[in-house]
This record gives sequence, structure tokens and C-alpha cells, in this order.
Amino acid sequence: MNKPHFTTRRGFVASLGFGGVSLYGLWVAYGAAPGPLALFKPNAAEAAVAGAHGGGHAAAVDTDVVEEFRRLHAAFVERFATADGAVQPRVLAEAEPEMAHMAASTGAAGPATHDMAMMAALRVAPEAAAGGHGAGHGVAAAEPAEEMAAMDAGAAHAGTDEAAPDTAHDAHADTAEGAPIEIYLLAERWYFEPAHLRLESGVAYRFRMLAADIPHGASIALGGGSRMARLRPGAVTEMELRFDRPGEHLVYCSLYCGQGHDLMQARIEVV
Amino acid sequence: MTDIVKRRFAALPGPDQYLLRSISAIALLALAIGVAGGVLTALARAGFLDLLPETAYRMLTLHGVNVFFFWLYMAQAALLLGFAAIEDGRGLALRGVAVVGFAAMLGGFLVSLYAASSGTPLLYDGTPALAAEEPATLLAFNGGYVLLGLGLMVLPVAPIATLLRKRPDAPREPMSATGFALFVWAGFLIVSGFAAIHAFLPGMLWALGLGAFPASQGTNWHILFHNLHYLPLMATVLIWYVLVQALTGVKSVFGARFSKIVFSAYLVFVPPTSLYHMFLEPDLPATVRVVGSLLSLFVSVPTLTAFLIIIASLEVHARANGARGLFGWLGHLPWHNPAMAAMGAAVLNMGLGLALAFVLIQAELAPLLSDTFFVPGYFHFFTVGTVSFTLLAAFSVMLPGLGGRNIAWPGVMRWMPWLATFGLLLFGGAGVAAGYLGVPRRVMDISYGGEAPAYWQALMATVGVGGSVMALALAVFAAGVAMALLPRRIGATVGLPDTGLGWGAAAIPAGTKAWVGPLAILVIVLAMYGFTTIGFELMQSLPLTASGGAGH
Repeated sequence: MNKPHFTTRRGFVASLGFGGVSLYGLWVAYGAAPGPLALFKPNAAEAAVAGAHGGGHAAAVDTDVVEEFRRLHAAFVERFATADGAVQPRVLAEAEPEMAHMAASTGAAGPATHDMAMMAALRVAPEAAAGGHGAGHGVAAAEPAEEMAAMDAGAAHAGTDEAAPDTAHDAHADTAEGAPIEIYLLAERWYFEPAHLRLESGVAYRFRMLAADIPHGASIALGGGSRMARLRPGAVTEMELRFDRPGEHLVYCSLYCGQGHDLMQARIEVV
Repeated sequence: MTDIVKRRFAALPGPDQYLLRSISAIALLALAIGVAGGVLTALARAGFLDLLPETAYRMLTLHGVNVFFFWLYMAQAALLLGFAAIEDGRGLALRGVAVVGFAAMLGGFLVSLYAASSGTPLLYDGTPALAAEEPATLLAFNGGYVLLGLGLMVLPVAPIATLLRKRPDAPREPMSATGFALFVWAGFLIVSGFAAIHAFLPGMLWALGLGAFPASQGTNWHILFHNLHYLPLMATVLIWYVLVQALTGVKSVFGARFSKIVFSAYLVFVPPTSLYHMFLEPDLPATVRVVGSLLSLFVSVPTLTAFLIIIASLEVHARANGARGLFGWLGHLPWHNPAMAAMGAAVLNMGLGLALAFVLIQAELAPLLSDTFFVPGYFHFFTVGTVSFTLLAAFSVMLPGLGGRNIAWPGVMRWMPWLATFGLLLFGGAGVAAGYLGVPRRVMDISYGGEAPAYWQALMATVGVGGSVMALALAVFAAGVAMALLPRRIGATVGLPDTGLGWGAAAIPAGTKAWVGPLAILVIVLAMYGFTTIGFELMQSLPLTASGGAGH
């Protein structure tokens, strides 16, 4: 009986060294990792994450995109600015997206088409953008039309702030189920623009964010935690958000960007 | 037993001793500057100190540059050279190479001090875009790191040559487990040096007008950073391995070969696990994020296994020497020795650090935590509580042997690791909580003009208090160690009294159990589950549904 106790055997000690790996089970339970069997299926890992996230991507694009983004961003702010200085993006009509689709398919001339071309330039094919992150992005080519339609829909009602909320609210029931409302957020030393966004709870928004000069962060304080994103200069980062309830949320830069880093903030008001 | 090690250091040739003392002195100087910068940063964040943003970010730069780079690497260089030199008792081979390496590192230290003190504060990662209009600033900043990298690639050649040198009296004797681990450690330093040059040379060349703007430095930085904070863990475990033997006479009951395999495991498990640092990068493919998460699960394997080897070996030897009860043997350890106290606190802090680190390796939690104060909250358990105190423990054994002067205030010093752990619990506890609640890191004024939640400031105040306590304890311990660098007082005795423990001589009865190590692993793993669950639950409770933005 000269056998050592099993707690002093090499195999036992080596096995326990892998103790942390068991955390994988918790990840699977929360849907944050593919199950063990799924790992052996083609593209399983990617599909698991794409399914959990539902899409969205970011891509490094040519620096010319910064100027294009600025122009679209300026148009966005102008169209949805309200009298109190907030920017309140909204959809006010249901028919216009279809009109935009038509414009896109027929190549109709006009401002909307021009914007659509730029939007297409801002977009990068999902495969090229994210190394094969294709799930959920197969309709990228058609999306710009809807995006600009959403903006144009708002533009058609710009300056009618008094009446806008009610009308917009009516339209949101459909919007929430369809394409998200586009939001353009520009990050630059040391500010966000718009600095005050007014959004509605229960409505889906697609944040299109761009750092115009150096890397920035775009994080939203949500009380019990924050939702963080990093922005690379000259690359549009997308994030789809739907706020579940009204509230005020601080937006702040979470990536050190120089001496004015502390000052870089904005506000999202969810009504 | 400690006297044996000290005598071996004392027997080294004079030039070796002088070199080791010089590198140690610069390492401790870097630590002192880094700690001072850290305290000022913590106090500014806490709102206790009103600093201009530029000044506060400069303090953070000084803190990061000096602690992360020059303290950790100078200290590792000194200890690697020292322990390699005493392996066969014949001193260093290729000492001149080590001197050249040290000269490059010293040059890097001075250049980095200048860079951190002038121009735009670049923190410690030196994002090139921040200095796009200040090429001279980027040149100095990156130049310091490149010199450090060069030194790290050159200096370890000396210990490698020392360890490979055949012993005239036993030419066929295999390399010991310690010698093998030192050999691997030297290799890691060379790799780290290369990673530093790889990350920072392009920026230097751009500043000189010899290359394109280093737009991809971020990725290279993440590779370097991963090595930067995981590879010192290997050094830490090795030092425990050596010091446990020095303090108690205990060698591994699993044999030298098994120890060699475990030390080799760092080569296998650490490099491929660096992806999780990039989870928030917007252009990281989804597949890479998933694979990165899975690989990262393995990052702790060598550390936990080496920890088990040491704890189990200690426990069975203590039981063979009469210790009773599940935890009773712990009381028999030589806690009065500051090195033992530092190692004990280091083990505790490593457990906490590991449990928290595993929250960050999950890609789905990156958008919640990656750029928050969770990160400094958890990694100080490693950098201060685990690695720095372990390195200082090793210095507390090496320096008295080299200079003949004892460390100062051993009665006070033995409490400092525990005081630092108390400070760390405040700093790390509040910091991790702040991270879960969204408080960003690397922001000095987190009030945002009153728009941030009020509890953010309260948490940062706790971080400031805890950080100050931690820094004070670390500074006292380091100062006590640094006193051994002063000239020897006439008539003073060399070193601390021997611990009196010679556990290694006792035969271990068959069937002796070693449960404390496995229990510790169980607690660490359960804590990993707990902290990860908190993250998932918080993520799910946020008042919004989100997708994208975090690298997909």
C-alpha cells in the first residue's frame, strides 16, 4: 500500500488545472457560445454568434467616407432637429419607403438617388467587412434605399415639430417591425453630434457611428451597466438598439482620445 | 534554507553582483515612479485631488509606462539573471551581453521618462493617432519602448548561455526543473521584446519620415499587452517554486519532469489566448471572437497546475512533519518572513484575479465591460497583489545576498502584503463593481457635468482610498527591499535568520492527502461562475436590446 493518495497524483493535478475550462458550460447555458456538438458543424461558431446578435457590422472603409458621412450626418441633423435643440429621428409615413425602393430600382435621378449612392459607398459587403460575417446582411444592397427613405420621410416633415410626435408615434408601430430608423452619430475630438438625441421606447434604431479623426468610444450608460462600442476613424460602426423604457442616458467616449476626453459626452432621452 | 540561497548569491563574482544590483535599483526606481503616478491618478479620479486633465493623464502615463513596462521587465531581467547565475554557482556566462541588454533597457527607461513627461500624454499604449501632429513625441515614446524591446531580446542570451553551460563536475546532469523554467522565462522575455519592437517600431519609423503611419498599431499592441501581463505570471509561479524550496526545503512531489511539462505549457497556452483583448474591435470577425473566447478558457491551465504542484507539495510535506487538520499546516509556514507573507498574499490575489479575468474572456460580455473600470479593477490583483509582491519577495532574498545588507523593517514588512491586499479588495471590489455599472476607465472626471449616475463618483472615491492603501503598502515593502541595496553597515549580519524549516528531509507517508489545493481550485472556479453570471444577468437586465457594434 505505497500508493500515493489521488490528490497527489499527476493526472489529478493536471486535470484540475483545466478547471477554468468548465466555464464553457455556463456560456452555453446563456447562449453566449455554441454547444459542443455545434462546434463540429460547418460555420457553427459564426452562426451561433450571428444568431445571438442578429446582425450589425463594422468595416474599415476609405477615408473619403468621412466626408460622405459628414454630409449625410449634416442632412440627418438638419432634418430631425427640433426647436429645443434635440434631434428626434422618426418615421412619419408608411408609403415613402416603397417610393424610395422604386427610385433605387429605376435609377431615378434626384437627391434621394444621390444619397443612396453614397450610402452604398459607405456600406461594405459583409464578407469583406467582417471576414465572412454574412448572416443577417444578405439584403445590404437594398437597405440604403430604405435608409434614405426613412430620412426623407422625416425630411418631409421637418419643421413641423409641434405635430410630429403624434404622427410619428402612429407610424412607429410599423417601423418597429420593419427596418430600424437610421441615426447618424459623429464622434470627433471632443464632442458627439448630435449631442442630444430624443428617441422613443420600443422603437428599433440603427446607430451608424463614425469617428472622424482618431479612435473614439461611443458608450451608453444604462443605469445598471453600459453598452460600449469602439469607433475606428473612417469606418462606420453599426449598432441596432431598441430602448425598452423611457429614461435619460449619458453617452460618453470610452476610449482615451486626448486631454478633452472627459468632456466628450452626449445625451439620449428616451420618451 | 533561505541562507543557502543568499550564500549562493553572495558567492557570485563581483561584476555579476554589481550588474544585478544595478538592474534591481533601476527596477525599484521605476516602481517608485510608477506607484507615485498611480496614487496621483487614483486620487484625481476619486475627486480628492484637483489636477488639470493634461496633468492627470500624464500621471496615468507615468504610472503605466513605469509599472507595466520598466518595473515588470527590469525586475524580471534582474531576477532571471540572478537565479540563472546561481543555478550552478559559477556566475553568469556572456556577462557582456547582459550588460549591453541592460544598457539598452536603461536607455529606454530614460527616453520613456522624457516622453511620458513631455508632449501629449499618450498613456501607456501610445495610440499613434493621438500624436499624429507631434511626431517628436511619438518618436520619443516609441523609441523608449523599442530600446526596452532591444534590451529584452539581448539580455536573456546571457542566462540562456549560463543555463546551457555544462558543469565540469557533472557534464551529463540534466537541467533542473528550475533551470528549465528559467530557460523558458528567458525565451518569453525575448518574445516580449520582439513584440514590443513589432508594436512600436513602425511609429518610430513614421516619426522619422521613414515609413507609413502605423494605423495597425492597435492590433500589435494587443499581442504585446497579452504577453505583457500573462508572461510575468509564469515568472511569478517559478519564483514561488524557487522560494518555497528556499523557505521550507520542499521540492515538488511530482518530480522535475512534470514541473518542466507544466512550465512548457505556458508556451502552448498563453500565446493563442490573446484574442479576447480585441473583442470590442469593430473589424474583428465573429468567428474569431467565438474561437478567441474558447481558446481563452485555457489561459489559466499552466498557472493553476503549477499552483497545485506547489500547494500539494507543501501540504504533504507539512503533514509529514506533524501538521494536522485540513488547514492546520498553513499555520506552520514561516509567515514571519516577508517573502513568505508576500507569496501568501500573492496566491490569494491570484485567485481573485483569475476569477475576475474569466469574465472578460467571454466575447458576449465585452460590450458591457471591456472599456470599463472592471479592467483595472481586476488586473491590479495580478499586477500588484500577485506579480509585484512576488517579484519583491524574490528581491528580498536576492539583494541581501548580493550586498550583504539585510532588508529593512522585516517586522513591518511582513504585514504589508496583507495591508496591500486589504487595499486591493477596496480598489478592486469598487473598481469591478464600477465596471459592471459602466464606469469607464481612463477618464479622470467621471461626473460628466453631473449627468453621470451619482454612485459612479462614490465608487471612484472608494477606488481612490483602496488604491492609496495598496500603494502605501507596496511602497513600504519596496522601500524595505531597496534598503538592501545600500552599503553594508559595519558589523551587520547578513540576511534574515534562517526559517528553521527543513520539511524536505522528511519521508512522506503513503496515502498522505493534499486537499487544500483542489479546494482552492474549486473556490476559484465557483467564483468564476459567480462573476460571469453577474455579467450575463446584468447584460440581460439592461433596458435595451442591442446588436452589433462590438466587432460584428
